[in-house]
Amino acid sequence: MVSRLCLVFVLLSAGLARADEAVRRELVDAGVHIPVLTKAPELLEFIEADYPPEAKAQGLTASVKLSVIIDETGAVSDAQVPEPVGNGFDEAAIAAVKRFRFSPAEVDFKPSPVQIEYVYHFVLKPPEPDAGVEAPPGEPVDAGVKLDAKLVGQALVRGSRGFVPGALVICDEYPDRFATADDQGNFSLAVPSGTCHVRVAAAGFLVFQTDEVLAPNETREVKYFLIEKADGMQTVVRGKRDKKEVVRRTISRDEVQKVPGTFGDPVRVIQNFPGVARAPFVLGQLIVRGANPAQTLTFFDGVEIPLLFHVAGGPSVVNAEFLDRLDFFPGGFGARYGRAVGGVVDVQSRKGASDTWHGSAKIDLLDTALFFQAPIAKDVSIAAAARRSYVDALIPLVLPQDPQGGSLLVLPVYWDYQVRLDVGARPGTPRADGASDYSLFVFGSDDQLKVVASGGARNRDVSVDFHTSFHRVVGGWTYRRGNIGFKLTPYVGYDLAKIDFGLANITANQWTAGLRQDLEVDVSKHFTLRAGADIYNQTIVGEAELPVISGVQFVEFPGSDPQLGTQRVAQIVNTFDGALYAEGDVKVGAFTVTPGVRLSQAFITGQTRYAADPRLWVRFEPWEKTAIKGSIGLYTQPPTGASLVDPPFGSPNLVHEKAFQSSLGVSHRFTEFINLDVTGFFNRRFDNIINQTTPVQQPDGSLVTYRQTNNGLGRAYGLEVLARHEVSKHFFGWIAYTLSRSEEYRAGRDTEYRVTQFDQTHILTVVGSVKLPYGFELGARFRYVTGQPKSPLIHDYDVYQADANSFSGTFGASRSARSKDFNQLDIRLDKYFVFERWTLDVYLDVQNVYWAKNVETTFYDYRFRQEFEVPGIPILPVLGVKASF
Amino acid sequence: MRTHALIVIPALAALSACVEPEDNPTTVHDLRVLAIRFETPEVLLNECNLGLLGGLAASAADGGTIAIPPALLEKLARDAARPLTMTSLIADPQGNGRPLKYRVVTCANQNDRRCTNEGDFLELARGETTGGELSVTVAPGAMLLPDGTPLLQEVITQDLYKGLGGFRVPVVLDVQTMDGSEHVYAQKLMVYMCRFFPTMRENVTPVLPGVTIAGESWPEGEVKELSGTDEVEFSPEDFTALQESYVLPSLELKPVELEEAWKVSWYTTSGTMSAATTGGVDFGGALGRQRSRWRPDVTLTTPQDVTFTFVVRDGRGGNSWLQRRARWTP
Repeated sequence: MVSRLCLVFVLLSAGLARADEAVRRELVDAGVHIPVLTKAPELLEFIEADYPPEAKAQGLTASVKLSVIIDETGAVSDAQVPEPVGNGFDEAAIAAVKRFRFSPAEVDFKPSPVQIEYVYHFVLKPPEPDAGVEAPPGEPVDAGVKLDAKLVGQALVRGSRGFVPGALVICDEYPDRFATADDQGNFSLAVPSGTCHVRVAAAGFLVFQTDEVLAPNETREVKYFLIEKADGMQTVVRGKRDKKEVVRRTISRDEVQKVPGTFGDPVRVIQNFPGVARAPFVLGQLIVRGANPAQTLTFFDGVEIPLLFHVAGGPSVVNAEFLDRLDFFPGGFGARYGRAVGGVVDVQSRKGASDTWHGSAKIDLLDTALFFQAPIAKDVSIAAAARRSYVDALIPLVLPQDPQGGSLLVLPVYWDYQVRLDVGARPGTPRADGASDYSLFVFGSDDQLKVVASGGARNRDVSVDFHTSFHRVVGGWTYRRGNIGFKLTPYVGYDLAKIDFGLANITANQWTAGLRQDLEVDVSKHFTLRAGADIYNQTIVGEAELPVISGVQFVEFPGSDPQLGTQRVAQIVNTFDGALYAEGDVKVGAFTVTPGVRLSQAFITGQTRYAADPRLWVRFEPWEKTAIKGSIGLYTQPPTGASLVDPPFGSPNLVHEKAFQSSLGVSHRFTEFINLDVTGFFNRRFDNIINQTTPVQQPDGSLVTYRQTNNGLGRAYGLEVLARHEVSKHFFGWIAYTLSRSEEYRAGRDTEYRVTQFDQTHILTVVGSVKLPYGFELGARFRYVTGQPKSPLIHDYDVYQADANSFSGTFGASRSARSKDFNQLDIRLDKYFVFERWTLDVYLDVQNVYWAKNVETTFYDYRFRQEFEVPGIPILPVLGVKASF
Repeated sequence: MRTHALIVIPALAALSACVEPEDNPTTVHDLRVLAIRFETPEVLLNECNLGLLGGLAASAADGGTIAIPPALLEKLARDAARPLTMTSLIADPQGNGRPLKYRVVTCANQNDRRCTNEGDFLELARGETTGGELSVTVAPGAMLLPDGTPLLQEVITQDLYKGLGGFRVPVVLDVQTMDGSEHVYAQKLMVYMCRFFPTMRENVTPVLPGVTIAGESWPEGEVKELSGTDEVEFSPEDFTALQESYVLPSLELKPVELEEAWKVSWYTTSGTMSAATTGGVDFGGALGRQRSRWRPDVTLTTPQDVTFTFVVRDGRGGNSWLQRRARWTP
């Protein structure tokens, strides 16, 4: 047997397609300062590797995957084999690839180093075909071989029908002849009739092999379905400009959907990162560095979401299928973000597919979610998702018999939708200089909850009808020419909140309009400027028919629930908040200093509020894979329009809440996939808005009661550690640990700082997901968290209030004790059935595997003599099915 | 998968039920104070009006020191000096008539639930008693603190709402067993209300006209014979016509028309009641139904004498109670 090396030039185009996918992900980032691959490297000089003699002697073949770094000149500066195959193939491939020459890649139109994946195939050439075979007249002849048959077909991704551009198709018998699939995965290969041992290879896919027996003059149409090796093999663009923030946690859709115990919910996944305290039960609250949940804002494509979760602790309104990626800033976020003194979550939606139509359907006990994406014209794609619950139909079937003997109706209904239309460069295609991308994104959510309990032995009939919804239309224009990048994001929205409760009803209609504009200019190699505007206007028209409110409009007597006349209340609340921001990267050697400022002026219910937030970030990279980062800054959050209305419902004197945030951290990348991040932080909050009733007597003797004040102070400090293994062929996971303390103080009431209700000294979260043979994937999450603060109960006597007919407890120092520590293990097992055109995922998600008896809250007997601990969830297995194509 | 947060919530509710305390508030099995009433439940201060409030406001504006004109204070004290009968319903079902020691104290700070703040309380009475009703005559509105400050003035000073909810003088009954093993502090607020509007009338003690058992009237003094494990429904006789209309000032000093919605608290010395308190109006304006079912203690194997107590509260300081006795056999 004669051996011959056959190089399969890998499919650099495919690799670059993935590179462009990474670029696309960067592009959708609302910030415009993120590097973009504008020109892919092209292989100019190929060096044939030496076939390892022993391997050749043994008839061995191999495919060596290399991670290749190409410098600004196009030379290969490094080549590594992440997964050695042995037998001398690795060394031979490295030696050859290091001598390759490429055309320089360009990032933001400037020659830049990039990293790509390259697969070098070592294939033994079969014996030379018999000589003397003449091609019949009119048929092509290649090296004396009559090419009288043809394979015409398409290379597709098995399980999803995506195209595999750049796939290489060869017959083993004729390795010198090959066809390369085009952008649609189509190929055509002329071969001699007879048996053809077909081999199809593409980067990121297992080599596909089959036999075709071709008759003379036969043209056979085929479709080959290639199996993707694994996620996470994408080319990584290593731009020169790293993120300035000290901490920016990014998570992909793959990770979101596979973290056990999170219901595949993106917002709940964030709870597993450092700096985020555990929320009670399975609630999705984000308690970031001691701030209360309302102080952390969540954006969907740059637009704030008014409601994070569906009714009664349901799923988040952000459908995970529509998520492209998610950025979480626990603090120290950029000047383009504002109106928050805690953290920021920025969810980026998914752009429609560019190859063919895809979709998925997910069905579980409570709702069904559908997702669809497709190209609809050249450079035009659409993606849409919808979800609707049917729990309202199921609840009557499982609702226990009414113990009161009457009728009980509980009907929660929720639905949400997202539709996104994109015009411009397709995913996988670099945007031409001076070209624009446009997008239109429409999304919304609706929740209704109806509870009717009446009759039987019940002492009180209850009828509550709750309805809330929001809708947003978001436009997008992204443009880049030369060293200038620009993005414009206008949006409008409508929200409804309505509640009917007996004779009382409250309706609030809210109209929102806003605009974001971001500009980036690379002034020089040493200076980059970013600036923009963030304008927001909101009008709330509220109407209510409700009883005179005791305790608000008159002084209530303890235990009093009198019969009252009703009143009609109408209120219009206008809120405008306009902000300008600017920040600039000044680069000197290994240092990057970024000063920034955000200026805002708000007009809220006729009042004016100003804020000026200076911020500073510093980054020092002593070594290529190590960065030391620090930030300090002022962050402000305006009071809501509703809180600034006239008394007795509002407190017009409220001003911005403020926080001084500082952090210092170091990150180091150990390997392509493993990195470590350690960050210390100190946050000082002041002018916190707290509920504190303050009656102020007027000269005529009447009282004006302010419900809230800015008397809250707080401080939080701690250390966050994140050791992360990013998504690779077989595994992703992280270890997150937070050591922190969160304290608060109420001026005029407290004498000293005390820990907040959110304080959790130790928070350890370990997440891992490993791919197993036979289409299985196993994930686990373990959490250990210090118990919640509570005040110790002291009972030496009963304290009874005869008017209210109630008891009060006697407690020790406020929050000086704790519930017992929390620990829980969750697991998730997926089994994927990959068919040619679709994939079925059957999964079992089990929360609290070993049924830890955790404590979620504490309550007391009616005389406050004993404590009773409310347990957390028991073991909770959930089975689900998801089909995608 | 997002699925089952909605399921978790009822599951948690069920779990909460699993840890429900055994000590039921409707079952009286040890030393308790079930109610305290003043007769009269409210004192209307005729000399107190919007002028007083204006004066308080001006004083506050001058630097926060409340200065009530001495002449006005004298008039208030005269109205507030009315002697009041304070009656406490002390339950001591296992005491068998054992002696209990008690104190009655008053103070200015409503949040001082035991009236123990140093220099800010006054003792009104003390002695020994037994379970049952304890009556003492007091006049908290006329008392002087140890430093000579009128208690009522201190109450006004400490009142955040400057009398718009009435000047509420806390009176605390401190009752305990002789060995101190059982000890209860019970606070009752005595209301001194300014007559802001001419239509204001002094509150009258609410009294239940009677109580029914299984739909039949249950006269006082009749000992019912009950047996078996079946629940028995109690309800008060209709008192709708007895609920008073009344007027309170809003914080803007406008009259707010209200009507009492009495609440009934239900107690038994054996078994439990299905509802601890019934009545009142919820946020949506709906009145609750007045009924509660007695559930015998099915673990008992011997006949029991059972005392039922029904306490009615009018939601503005007035309250009273009825008691009925029954003999239950398993």
